[in-house]
Amino acid sequence: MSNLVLKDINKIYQNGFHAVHNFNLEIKDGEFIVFVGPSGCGKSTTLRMIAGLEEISKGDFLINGERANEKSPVDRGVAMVFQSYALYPHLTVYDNLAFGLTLEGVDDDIIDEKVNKIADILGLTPYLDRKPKALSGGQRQRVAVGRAIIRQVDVFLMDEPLSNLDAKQRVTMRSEIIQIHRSTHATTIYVTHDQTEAMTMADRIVVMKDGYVQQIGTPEELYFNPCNLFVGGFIGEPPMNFIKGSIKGNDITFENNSLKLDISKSRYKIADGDVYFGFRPEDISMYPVENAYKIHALSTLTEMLGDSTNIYIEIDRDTVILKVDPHDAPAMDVNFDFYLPYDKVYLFDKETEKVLEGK
Amino acid sequence: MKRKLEASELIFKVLSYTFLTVFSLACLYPFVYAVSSSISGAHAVDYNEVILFPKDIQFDAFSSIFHNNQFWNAYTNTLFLTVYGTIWAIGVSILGGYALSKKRLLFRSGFNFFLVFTMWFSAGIVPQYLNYLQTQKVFAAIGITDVKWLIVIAMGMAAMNIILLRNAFEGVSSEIEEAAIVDGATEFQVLTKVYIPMSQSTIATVALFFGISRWNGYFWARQMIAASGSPNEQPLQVFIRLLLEDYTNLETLASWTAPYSPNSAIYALIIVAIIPILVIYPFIQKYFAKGVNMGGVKE
Repeated sequence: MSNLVLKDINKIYQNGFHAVHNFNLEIKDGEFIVFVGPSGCGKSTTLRMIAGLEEISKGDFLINGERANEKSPVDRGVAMVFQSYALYPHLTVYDNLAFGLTLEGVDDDIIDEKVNKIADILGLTPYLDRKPKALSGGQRQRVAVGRAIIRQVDVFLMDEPLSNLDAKQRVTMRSEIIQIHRSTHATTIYVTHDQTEAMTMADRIVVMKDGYVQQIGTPEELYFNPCNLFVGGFIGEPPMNFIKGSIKGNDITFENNSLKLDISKSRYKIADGDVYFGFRPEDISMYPVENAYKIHALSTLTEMLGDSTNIYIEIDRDTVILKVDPHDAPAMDVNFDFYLPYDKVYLFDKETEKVLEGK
Repeated sequence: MKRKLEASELIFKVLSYTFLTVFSLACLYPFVYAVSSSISGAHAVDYNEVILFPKDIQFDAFSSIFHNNQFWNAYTNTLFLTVYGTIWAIGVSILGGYALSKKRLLFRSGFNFFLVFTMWFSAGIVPQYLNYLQTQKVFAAIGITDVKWLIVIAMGMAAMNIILLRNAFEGVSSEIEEAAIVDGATEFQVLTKVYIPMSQSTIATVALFFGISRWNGYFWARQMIAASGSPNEQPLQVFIRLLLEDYTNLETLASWTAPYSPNSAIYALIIVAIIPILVIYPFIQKYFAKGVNMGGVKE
């Protein structure tokens, strides 16, 4: 059982670079937490501080209420899966899986039993005698995951474990990791830059940018209630559309005034000023719906994806993407109308980039 | 389908193969000549009639060496110096190379500088000779007077080999080391269970360098053993040198009665001296071509 608390965690390197700023998070036992953000946002650094591979410059890291800043990785009871697999190339799959247990001095019979069990779960039994160089990328990543779970620790740390796999393998491994988490109930902290992985796997997501936590919440909270422009744009595929607008009275107008919408119908308390007008590509309808804005547009590009079609349009010089059913998609260079429900509009302050207060 | 070579490529290939063949033969010839001379009759050797193949074959030169107790004594000494010397030198070099490969090592760049400095700017023969004598005194002061152990311990450091090992250790992915640390490995276990097995090829190379230098060790062995005044301690190379001096001595030649030439005896001795290295080399060679991280990390 492991409850982890990160209190005002900071990472400042010797050269003065401040990589992580005041990171606060309480992780409950058995939770699947995903750190997500673009490259260089501090998510891997934070994970490495939790693992004990990186010193915590300021703040407290508590495991079950006990300060663990100075504890070695093995004393923290963590296992880690690395982005590059980090398998021992001179050892067979069997020995790679058994490495941690051997160091612990576990009896050979027990090691054998555990290795065979894990190999069976991960489909590695035929490859136990092979060395890593004789395995495919997916198999290597399975060995890396197996090496972590065999130790039956309380906390699993995974640093972009799927980023080196192809798209198909990623989907397979993603579901396997979820299954493993369900069966082990171990607290898992997973780092990724892929918002799809974050949304599909996490109990809670921590969105980071430039070393700062932007928002912590369930996938639903982040998707439906992003706290700022960055989170709104980062979560969701295709990303949320943003158009610079200006509110005056009840109306919002855009740069060349070709479009004017009654913004008082939105779910936000409005005041005169500059804002970002946002909406998700999938929230629009090609058919008239009640309580929705009717917007006229010209399709400049269409992308047929099979289950949906992305339509590119321009609203006041900003390119906007609409995601529609392929059967409803207009052809290229065609004028058409679409409908945006009032309650699907997001408004962000232009200065602070924070979402406006709700009504 | 095989591509037809262009004229320039063909010329380059022919020249390359010709040069390499000639070079290989030039390297091989002295060895073949030594073997042939060592088993040729006295007349053929003394009158330079041996060009490539042996003439009037005899094995008396080898037989006389194998019946020489001093030879076996020198051989045993050399084996002692080579085996223990290589083990000690490899051990010291691995620890040195590992420490220097760590960025967190205090004064790392300073250590590296002094190490490399000794490699580029050797002191020369006189300071080296004086150094041998001083080393002998220092070891005597701490109670190590056995000249063989003195040679093993005092000659156990080679800057070039430490740098080779340091570079090999630096090539090991830091994530593999971190994985071992998270798996519960101590610093020593990280070295023995990760770094050393992953650097086998370099360690084998360095071991071969050390082994050959110990086996062929002459100058320091001669100086130290001469200073200690115990001829029974002399290694093979010193023994060969003394025998060479003896066989080329006019007095020896004048009283020579053996059925083979003195040169055959020298060549036989040289052959016997290089055989162990020739035998060991193919076993070590297989490690040379191996890369360090092979499949362990996504490259």
